[in-house]
Amino acid sequence: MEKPSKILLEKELKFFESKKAEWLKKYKDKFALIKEEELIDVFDTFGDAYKEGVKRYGNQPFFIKKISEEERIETFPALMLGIIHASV
Amino acid sequence: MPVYEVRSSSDILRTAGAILPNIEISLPQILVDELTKKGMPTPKPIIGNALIDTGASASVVDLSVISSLQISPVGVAMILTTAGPVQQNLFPIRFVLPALVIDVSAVLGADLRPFGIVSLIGRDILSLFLMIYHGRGGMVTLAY
Repeated sequence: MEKPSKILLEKELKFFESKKAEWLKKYKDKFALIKEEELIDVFDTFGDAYKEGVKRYGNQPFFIKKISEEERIETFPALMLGIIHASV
Repeated sequence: MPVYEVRSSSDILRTAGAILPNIEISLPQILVDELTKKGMPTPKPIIGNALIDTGASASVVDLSVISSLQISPVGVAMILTTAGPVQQNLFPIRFVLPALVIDVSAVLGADLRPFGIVSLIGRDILSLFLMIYHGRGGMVTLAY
């Protein structure tokens, strides 16, 4: 897996990180819907947050993130090492 | 309970892996409805093979598919690479398997073309299913 280039939604990510400690006290385990540097609302599920995001912004980028203490790290051992063999 | 069964052979299952053929990847239905309401065109679904990877914590879709579908990102995930942890965008995707629809799954993008697949199905999606890997019979069954 190649190292990804610059990500989109960096401004929203920085805003989320700056507010995370404060939001953890009020909205722990909820999903935050953020556009630029504004918290639009919090939701119980990713799907509910996505629905509201689409309603407001259509196919424009918006940011959804679960408000939790620990950042989950996704792992793809086979893809990272390039050892997938999927020929059919 | 909808059931999706892929039959090949014990050898193919062992060497090629658990391939799900003709998976349809498209925009989430909510987004299609919104674009249709606004009279905007919606890109056609992309059909290709997916590989089940129980070692992957999240699902991945080929970057060219994400680009063809013109999907905007909806988040960022931390992923572990050989160079250490990095942030990468998440994209909302709808998967359609025969008899099974998974709407709005947030996936990562990567170049999967060298592997001949359009998607890697990770444990985020597998967590929605009962999966039976029947090695001797050359069969994979997903039940929703």
